[in-house]
Amino acid sequence: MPLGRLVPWSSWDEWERVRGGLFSADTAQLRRALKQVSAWEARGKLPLGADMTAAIQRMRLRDPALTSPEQQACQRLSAEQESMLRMQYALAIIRLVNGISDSAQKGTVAKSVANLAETAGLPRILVDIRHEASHNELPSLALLRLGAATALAWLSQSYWQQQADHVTLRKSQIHDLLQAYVQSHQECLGRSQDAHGKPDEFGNAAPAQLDAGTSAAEGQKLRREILSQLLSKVQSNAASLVEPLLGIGMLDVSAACPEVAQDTTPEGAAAVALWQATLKDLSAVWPSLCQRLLARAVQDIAEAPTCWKSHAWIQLLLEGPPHKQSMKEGLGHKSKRRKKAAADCDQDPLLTSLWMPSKRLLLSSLSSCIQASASAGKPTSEGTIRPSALQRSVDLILGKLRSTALASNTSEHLKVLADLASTTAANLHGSDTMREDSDMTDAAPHPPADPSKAGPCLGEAIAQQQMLVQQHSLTKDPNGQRTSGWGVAESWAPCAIGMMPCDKSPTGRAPNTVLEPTTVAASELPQSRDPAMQPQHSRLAGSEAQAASAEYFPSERAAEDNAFDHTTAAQMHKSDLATGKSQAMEEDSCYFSRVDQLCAIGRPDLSAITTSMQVTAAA
Amino acid sequence: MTASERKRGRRGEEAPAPSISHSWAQPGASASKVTLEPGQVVYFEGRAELQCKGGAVWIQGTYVEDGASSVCLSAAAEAGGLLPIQALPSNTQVPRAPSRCTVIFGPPKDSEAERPLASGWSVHGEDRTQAALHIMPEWAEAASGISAAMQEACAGGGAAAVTAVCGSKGTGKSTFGRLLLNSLLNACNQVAWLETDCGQPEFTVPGLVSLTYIKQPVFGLPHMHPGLPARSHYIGHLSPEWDPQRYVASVTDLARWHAVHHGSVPLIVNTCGWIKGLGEDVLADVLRCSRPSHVVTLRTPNVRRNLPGGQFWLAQGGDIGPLAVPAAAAQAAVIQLPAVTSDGPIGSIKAGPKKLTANQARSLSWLNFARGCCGLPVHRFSWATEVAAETAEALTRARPYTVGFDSVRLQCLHTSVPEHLMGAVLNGALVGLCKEADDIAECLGVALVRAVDAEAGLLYVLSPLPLSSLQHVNLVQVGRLDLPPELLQSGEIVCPYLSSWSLSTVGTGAGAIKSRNNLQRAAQLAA
Repeated sequence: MPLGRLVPWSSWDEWERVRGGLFSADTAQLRRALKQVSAWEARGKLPLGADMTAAIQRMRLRDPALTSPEQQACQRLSAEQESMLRMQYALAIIRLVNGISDSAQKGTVAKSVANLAETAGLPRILVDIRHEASHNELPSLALLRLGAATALAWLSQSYWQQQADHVTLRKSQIHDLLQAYVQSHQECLGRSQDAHGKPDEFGNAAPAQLDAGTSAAEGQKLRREILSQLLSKVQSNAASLVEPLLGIGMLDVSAACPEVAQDTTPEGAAAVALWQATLKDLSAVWPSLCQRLLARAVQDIAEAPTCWKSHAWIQLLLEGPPHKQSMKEGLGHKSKRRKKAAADCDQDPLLTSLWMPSKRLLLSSLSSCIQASASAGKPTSEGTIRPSALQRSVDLILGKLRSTALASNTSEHLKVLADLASTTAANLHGSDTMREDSDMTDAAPHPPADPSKAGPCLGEAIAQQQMLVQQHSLTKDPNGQRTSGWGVAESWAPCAIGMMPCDKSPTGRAPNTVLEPTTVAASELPQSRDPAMQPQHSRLAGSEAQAASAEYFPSERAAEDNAFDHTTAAQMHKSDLATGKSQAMEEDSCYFSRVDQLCAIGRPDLSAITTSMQVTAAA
Repeated sequence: MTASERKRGRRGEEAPAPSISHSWAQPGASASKVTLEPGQVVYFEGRAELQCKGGAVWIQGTYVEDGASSVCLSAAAEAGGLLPIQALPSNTQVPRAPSRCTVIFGPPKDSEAERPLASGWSVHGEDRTQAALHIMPEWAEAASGISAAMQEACAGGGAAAVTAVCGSKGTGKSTFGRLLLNSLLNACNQVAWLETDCGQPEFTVPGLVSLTYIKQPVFGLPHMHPGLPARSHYIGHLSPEWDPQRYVASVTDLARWHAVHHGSVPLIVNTCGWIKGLGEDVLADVLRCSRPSHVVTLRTPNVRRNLPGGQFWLAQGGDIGPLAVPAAAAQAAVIQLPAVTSDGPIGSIKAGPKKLTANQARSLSWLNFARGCCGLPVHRFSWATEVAAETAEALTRARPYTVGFDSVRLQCLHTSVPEHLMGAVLNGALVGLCKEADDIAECLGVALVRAVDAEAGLLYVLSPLPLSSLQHVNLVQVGRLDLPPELLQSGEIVCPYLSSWSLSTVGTGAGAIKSRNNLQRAAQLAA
């Protein structure tokens, strides 16, 4: 696959945030963006457009006329200040004009700067200022200010806006191609249904094989064409397919979901057939697609209350189409053809050979779902079906785990997980015992995000858990102790350079790279002049980075999980205080965030989890 | 090789032209023999251990005689060219030159590890002469003359034997340096190599100046013979221009370290091809601080690409370096040699092997660095997509070293960075792992920061160094080095800093600022 170009930002969202900051009226935001640009500069490959925008905007912080024009503060500039400003403005403009025209120099003979600048649409005033500043007297501050404003406007349009449009264009191209692709499949399936004259049946799981007409061949040719175009746009960035497929809902599979439609309907069958046909081809090109889709579906269902429909995706991705079951159970009479179709379905290689969800992915999905269902409320309350969708997802993932984990030492662990899930269910259905239990533990009032403050039984369980992990871990390196010195990472999973391993994405998750002032060893003092600003800066920057990581790979929000717990618990605390529910809810929330932790800790050794789960359950 | 020698070579061909090939994977035969007439030349490609029975051969400065220990050869047609092996003519003044010699090729000792990638070797006759890297007779003569003088100086124990090789880009500094190195190794146990070209170093990855002690003759391009330097400093850039003072101080430290610890070992100084303007000043300082006894300048037909004649480095002010080196008593012999030009060596075969660009050569060095990080064997051939893909895949999987932010100091060499954004700068960057000292930080090796995790307070680092060496690292320096993009992408696992949605760079400001220096002016054309 073709290679991209090295850029200093780790995602287009990061780029977009810097763009917003650079053109923001808020000085604090501008300062933050300028710092980010200087980090980009240190990384290298900083685009001229960003460099020069930052250079000109830095002046905005220095030139009193720009910060407070109404006061005519420029009158009070000292000669020294003024000459400094003129130099800085002039250099920025010279570099901008030269850089832009150099980038347009093609061929062997040099063209004039004026020519090249005109082609690039650079205003003539900038070219003139460049000439004057380089070869003649340094232009006046008034002219330079005018030039800087012109340059900024040009940069905003010709670099930032164009680049943003380019990204949007690419996204929409992918969306359109995908749409055309799905549509072509849909037409093909529709035709084959018509051909059979039995629109009310659903034996069309593999219509491509059944329909050998010329139109089908044409459709196939068209799809192949679209797929190759799609490949040239998407390249290896499989993540860009997830949003159109799942987020926007190009492939709506909710009709195929038994929770919504109790019995399999023709619409459902058609949706499943379309889903299957589309995904089969796409995941042949992007093998990680199914994994990414599952991770995204779980994230949606766990985090976004309106996205409960995603559990249809979870079901399809984990269990495959529901044909087989419905055929056997729902229908008494079976024609030979349908039998054959069912058999095809059974042996469909998509879910068996093309994609096997990893145990890590399943475990982390499970913990997200259990955790979410803990805070989702009872299934019957306010008529929402999200909790039952969550419960269903938990069951689905558990079932998949059970069927994939065949090793003897995992079965016990699975049993505990199953117990846990049923405890969740019991709890959701309003069992009072749970609440009494939590009343008995003398936990601190606001503990959820902090393991050290959790109830004593839980604390013991965690301690024991960690001990077990240490005892059982075979890959433990004697130098790999969590000291701050040099060591070897205790475990590692493949992920891209610049990313951290992540169960949910083969690319990995974007790490938080913003260093807290205290984490850095002996170094120079922070560069911020205003000491009061410093904590605020780092905090803001930190949340920025979290947002960055979340946005770069939306299905991974590990960094925010704790914060999410905390705020949820706090909100509940406020609203439910009168009814006295909050204590129980907080305890639940705390309990289930432990589940997440335990799942995470126990990954190297499943038996360790089991033990600790039992301890927890006993507690 | 002179015309007469070549004729002799052709006459030798009256015997059946030796064109054999051998694959390591081939069962049974583990060695192959080639019999050469005196003066005959054969061209070697691949990788093999060479021994000589009855007679002697000359391979780029190295004499291999009957009974001498074997040498390990590496050559690739697309990377550096084939290696000519010449049986010594009987009438030259060399020790023992019988009429015929038999050359035995065998698999190199470390071939086990390379088996999946490297096929073996092949030996060609005159038909492949155009694909070979030829050494001009003037060069061979100069190299043997200088090496004799240096040996004499070393034996005398008086003045240090230091030869610096200078010249513009692409004039063959490294090739001549290797030739001289091999010539010296015919008589010396070891030879020191002071690498001051941080763009294309001979024994390390780019971005370093280093001092390496060599005991075996070297053949082929830098990536074919990576070495472990005795001492090095991290420059972090491909050129000294970013911080010339620090660069000169680093080189001075290496030269002084050599003089103190291994003063009796002959030293070869390889220099940068940047010889104009500031580059000339920097070169003058490098020469002043290394105190050469011989300076080889490679001259091109284009006078504007040549260095001034005489001891030019003593004439200039040269106040970049921190210490003023006394110019007195430093009398050096300046030897001027013709450069390898793009038209091929003068009076010799016209088209040589296609030269790799500096960037391609660097990519090969980085490829081997990355392979070292993942425990893969060194790749000694030309760039291959499968090898890059295999390495990129291994990079994503390799278990990294970890180190806490609080136990190393982080330093950005070329610009000041807000402290809290240092992690963003380091993420995915190539860094120098250094040991901080009072005066100047010594670099222990180069590493790839494969991830920065501020929450855990850890750097995840991939490096070919063993953990025991890393324990000394207390300073991490970041410069402006990049891995080739091919190593940052493995299938769908793509480094986030590789973007495929960037705007075209023409006239938009979407690319980094960069001017072209190969433009002609319309006025010049008209004149």
